[in-house]
Amino acid sequence: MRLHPYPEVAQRRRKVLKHVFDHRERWWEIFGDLSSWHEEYTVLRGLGCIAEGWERAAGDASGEGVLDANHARWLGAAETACDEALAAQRVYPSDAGRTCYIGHDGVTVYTSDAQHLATCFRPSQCVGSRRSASEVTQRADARGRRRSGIAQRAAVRRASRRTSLASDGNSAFEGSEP
Amino acid sequence: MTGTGADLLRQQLLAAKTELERGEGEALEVAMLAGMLARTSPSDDVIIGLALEIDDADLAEAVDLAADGVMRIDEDDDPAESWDALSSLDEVCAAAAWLGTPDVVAPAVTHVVQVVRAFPHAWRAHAGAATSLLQSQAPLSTDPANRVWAAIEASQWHGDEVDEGTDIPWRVRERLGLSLVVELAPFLRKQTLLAATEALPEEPPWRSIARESGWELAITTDIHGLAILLLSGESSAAFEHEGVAQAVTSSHDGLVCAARPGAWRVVVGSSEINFRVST
Repeated sequence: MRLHPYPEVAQRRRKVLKHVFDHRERWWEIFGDLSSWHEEYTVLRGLGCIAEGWERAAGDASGEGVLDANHARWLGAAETACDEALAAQRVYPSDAGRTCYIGHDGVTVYTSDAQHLATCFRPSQCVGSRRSASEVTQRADARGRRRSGIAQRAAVRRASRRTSLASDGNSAFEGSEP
Repeated sequence: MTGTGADLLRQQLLAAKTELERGEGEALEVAMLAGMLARTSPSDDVIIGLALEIDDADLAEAVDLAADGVMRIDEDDDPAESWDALSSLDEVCAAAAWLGTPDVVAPAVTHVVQVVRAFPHAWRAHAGAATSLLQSQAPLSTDPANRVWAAIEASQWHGDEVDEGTDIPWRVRERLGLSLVVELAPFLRKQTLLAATEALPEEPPWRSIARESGWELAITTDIHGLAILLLSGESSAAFEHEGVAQAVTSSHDGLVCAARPGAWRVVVGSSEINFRVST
């Protein structure tokens, strides 16, 4: 499924930094190249982006390059997740008429009408992680992609619960199961 | 929780347990799922007899990660993202309560609650869900998640939707059938100024009565020190005192009507505000 990305580059970079480089989301499991993820994380951390935001990469070719290249991967992963969600019927109504799609690896995509990307993330995982990125990557090397089951379960129960609570009384959620 | 919700947790718990038994799973995930299922089905067959060994240090690390995720949320983030962060923390709390070690996560939860209270705007979108959750899927009484969800629920009372000088927004008062009484006395009292501030323009006393996007109705004083009702941001409205229509004047601050003790009804567009001014 083709998605319309954010029109503004600043928003693309902000979201990529927020999600792809949040080690709780473990995007190296999706992109399949742990060492590259860690190298790029190190570039952004060196620029101060991890602590202070993507703006610290503004004007820096390497920093902007990392963010923009990862935006392309992130958007691609979002589109793949939508296709997987449609095939596996992991599609949920959400607030303000939006739709939530959950891919095999827990990649969670929210779209507004006309397939405009609202956001894309993996569920925040606190199971068996370590705070420092280097430790995270070391541990993830050994565990590989099997953790995607944990991510998918987390994404499904959180989306399902949000929908369920909304139907209990949160009028912000309207619509029906697609 | 709906039957479907409990069924989903049960299915996921069985899958996570199977992975753990194969040496591939994570005990903490199993504990999270067991804890969440225990909230609504404490005697569920799947969790009866289930025993897990989880080091307090692992639990403390997990709650620190989850709490950090919540505290990274800001107003620009999508509600789906803040929901995910909240869920992550809630799940760790459920595990801790189910394992009988809520004290391990309590300090991190306390920090999160302080941050949510300090910056409530980012959490308002989930206030309704928090109410539903506390009613239908309430955490165990020992579960620190209770405090998180209570803070999320309360986030709707903070910020610019709260009437200054009152505890509850007028729309909520109206829905709850609570009367709104405004005391006139503070607006009749001669203001005492410190000598050092005599040269500064005097700020009139002000109490917001009702506020919507674009307008605000307040009781204050005019330049002569007389108590007035002031509707700012709206050029037309109907003021009634004890059922009698009142004349209003237009000023550069808005529509003005002398404030007198008694029952008032003010109609602004489709909104009707009923309140009483007492001496």
